[in-house]
Amino acid sequence: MQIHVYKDNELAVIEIEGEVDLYNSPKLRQQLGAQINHGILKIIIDFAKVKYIDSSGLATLIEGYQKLNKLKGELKLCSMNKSIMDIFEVSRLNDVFAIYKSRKEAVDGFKKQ
Amino acid sequence: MENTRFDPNAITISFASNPRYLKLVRSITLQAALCANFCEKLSKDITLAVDEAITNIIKHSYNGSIDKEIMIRIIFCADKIEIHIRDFGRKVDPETIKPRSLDEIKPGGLGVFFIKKIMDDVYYDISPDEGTILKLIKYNRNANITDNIGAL
Repeated sequence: MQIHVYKDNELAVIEIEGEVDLYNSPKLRQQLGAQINHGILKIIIDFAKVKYIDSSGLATLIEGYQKLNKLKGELKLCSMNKSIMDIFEVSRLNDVFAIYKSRKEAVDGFKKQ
Repeated sequence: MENTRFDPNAITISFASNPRYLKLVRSITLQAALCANFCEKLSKDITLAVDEAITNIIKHSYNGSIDKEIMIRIIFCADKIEIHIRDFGRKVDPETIKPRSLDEIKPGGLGVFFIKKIMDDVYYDISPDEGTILKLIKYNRNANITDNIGAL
């Protein structure tokens, strides 16, 4: 799994490439934590290049979501393929996270707030 | 495994409890499910269930140790696939293994939810002296699985 981070003022986009499982999720946790520790409270995770996620990956996202909520920040997700979206829907996490079809829509979602 | 005798309708693999092997095990499981004539969606679901089971073993039975043994036996039956996942760690109490409510928003507990949602039967065999055998069963009533394996 590779992670690329793009920053624009107070917003960070974390682009994940590959599979998010027990082996890889600590890297995502570390990157999410690093952004939050640097005071970035608006974070988008781009799933366009994510092929697989399991409960370890979902747990990492929930941790980030809860951390950001405590700090009055927000985590948005975008660009999921159907099989990733299915996992969010089955676990009803699509009701928890703000999920957008594209990165642009997620960025616009922050601008409107 | 309780029975590692050669079986022409089964494959058995043994690997260390290192999360780096999850990707490899997922690949094997996906191909096995596809070979058993499950559709791509169900094959991916079965793969997720196996991934979650192994993740739970690494985290809970082996407390994160990466050098313990895990064995998987995939058995192709006429109308179902059985996947037995054996560990040699802390024995589980099946009564305590429950998925979390989806109304709770917390990091843990989704693995068991996925396993039970995906598989038709989930059975924890705690009869071995050491560890547990988790038996996952998925029926495929539209296919003669053993015939398909023979056609590979």
